Amino acid sequence: MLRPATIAFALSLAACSAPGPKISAHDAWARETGSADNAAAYVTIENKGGADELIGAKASIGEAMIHESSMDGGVMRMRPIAAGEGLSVPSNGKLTLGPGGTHIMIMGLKGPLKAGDHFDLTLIFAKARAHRIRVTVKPAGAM
Amino acid sequence: MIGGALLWRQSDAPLLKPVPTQVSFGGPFTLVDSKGQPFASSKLAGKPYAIFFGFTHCPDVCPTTLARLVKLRREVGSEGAFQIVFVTVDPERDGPKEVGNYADLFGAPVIGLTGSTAQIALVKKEYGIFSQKVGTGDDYTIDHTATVLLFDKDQKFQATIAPDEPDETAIAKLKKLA
Repeated sequence: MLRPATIAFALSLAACSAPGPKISAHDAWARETGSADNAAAYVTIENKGGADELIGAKASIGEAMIHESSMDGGVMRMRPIAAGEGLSVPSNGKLTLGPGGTHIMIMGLKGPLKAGDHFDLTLIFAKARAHRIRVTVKPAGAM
Repeated sequence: MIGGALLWRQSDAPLLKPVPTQVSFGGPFTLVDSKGQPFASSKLAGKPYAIFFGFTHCPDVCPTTLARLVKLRREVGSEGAFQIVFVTVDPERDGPKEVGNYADLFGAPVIGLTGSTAQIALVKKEYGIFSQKVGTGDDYTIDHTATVLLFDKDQKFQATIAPDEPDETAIAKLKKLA
């Protein structure tokens, strides 16, 4: 049987062994758009601390959602990630949102995005504080 | 015994599948170009082409695929190496102006095509393209075949490029088209 003191010691150890996340985000970009009122934004999130999750986003130019593109037998599907779910930002690792995969979908644009434009994107995490970054609009041919 | 029977069935299953036969895609079509004028597939003859089906409200995979084709064309040679054709699977929202604006985004010649629902349905059938509307209202999205089909200058089907295929294999296929 464990004595209360032993349990308290074990709990304090557990608390020490889970340091908070240390998030930084960079290389945020989006492609130019045509007539459609939506866009995809891409970003690399780096974490030099404990594990965290990206659970949402807000954009200055429209409604932002985390979307996932997936391939199934040559067919491309794009869906919002399930409600209440997040994308893992591993401890001492990174999460890359890039073309053809998981991205931030922005809907309801008031006008087309032109190369050289900028807008603000706020990344929302389960643990870390929200992170605001500047997204650069690149030519549509960017990869 | 039951486990053994299941195992036997599983390992035997691939033999029961039909043997793949030589498949071909393509065929003559008439669609509508970005100026609203009829566009007959015969206009593509004499030069190879890469054809991709998508929709202009597709913010990720479609522009990524077209940007990649433009980049690969530069790597293969000049803009004359092959034609890039974009056909919408969303004629409801994508008229001539919409496909034109979309095709013009890439800083290199891309032929944007739309058509009536019936014209699009026919060309999708000819090219083996699946698409399905998902969601309702104005913000629907479309699941669709994201494979690029390659045709030679005689409009004969030659190969496909999958989105996750490495550039080197795609370039080898594109070089063979010329």
